[in-house]
Amino acid sequence: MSKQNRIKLLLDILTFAAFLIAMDPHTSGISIHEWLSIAIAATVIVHLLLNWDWIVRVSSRLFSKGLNGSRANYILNWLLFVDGILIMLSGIMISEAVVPSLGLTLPQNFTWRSLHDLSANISLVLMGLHLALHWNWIASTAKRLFTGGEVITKPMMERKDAQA
Amino acid sequence: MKVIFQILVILVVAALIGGMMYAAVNAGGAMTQTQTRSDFDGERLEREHEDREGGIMLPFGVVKSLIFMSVVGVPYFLWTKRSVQAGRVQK
Repeated sequence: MSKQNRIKLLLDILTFAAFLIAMDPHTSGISIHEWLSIAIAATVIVHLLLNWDWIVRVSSRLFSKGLNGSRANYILNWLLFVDGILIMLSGIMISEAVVPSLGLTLPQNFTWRSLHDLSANISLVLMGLHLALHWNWIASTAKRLFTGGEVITKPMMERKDAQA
Repeated sequence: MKVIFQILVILVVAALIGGMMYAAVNAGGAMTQTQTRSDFDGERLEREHEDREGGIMLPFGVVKSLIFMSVVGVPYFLWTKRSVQAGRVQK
């Protein structure tokens, strides 16, 4: 297995674990919730950099025929990205630990709290779909990492495109 | 250099989307009633009180999130798997 695949999988597992902890601020506490979310944002940037070639490739061929699976995956990823930005922005606007620790005060607004809750719930749906779409790659790479075996390099819907 | 450019692209896109969201919320917020600091603090204290009343601090939120994602992801996974298999049979 390539070193990049190994790094990708380990980073994704760590990010996912951090995401689950961040989704439960009642248990972790507000400080951990906020600082962990900022760390997740940084790992998401690394995740995007590691998959940059795929992003560029699909962006350039987005409207060409026979790319239904990749297109669905691409749109889902964009929705996840936009939702992530909304979570971060609304989170910063209602921050009780990170922003005050920087000596900043932001205008208070109920709308940001509602948006934060809504976007967090939407992220669960999108993350579920994102995981489902890449489940074969995750399972195959994890299997290879721990036992050894063939690695699937494309999500299921993209393989369907390739077959068409 | 290439990585710095890529990071810059991600940050610029994120800033543009975030800026549009901020403008949209502020434009909408201007039409609604302004919230005072005491209202916000009151709401926060109420929420903290609810959190403390939660009882045993087990990560139920984590389990809830996992179940929620499974409920969404598993049917989608099975559907895509079936459609891929159907494509193979047709071939």
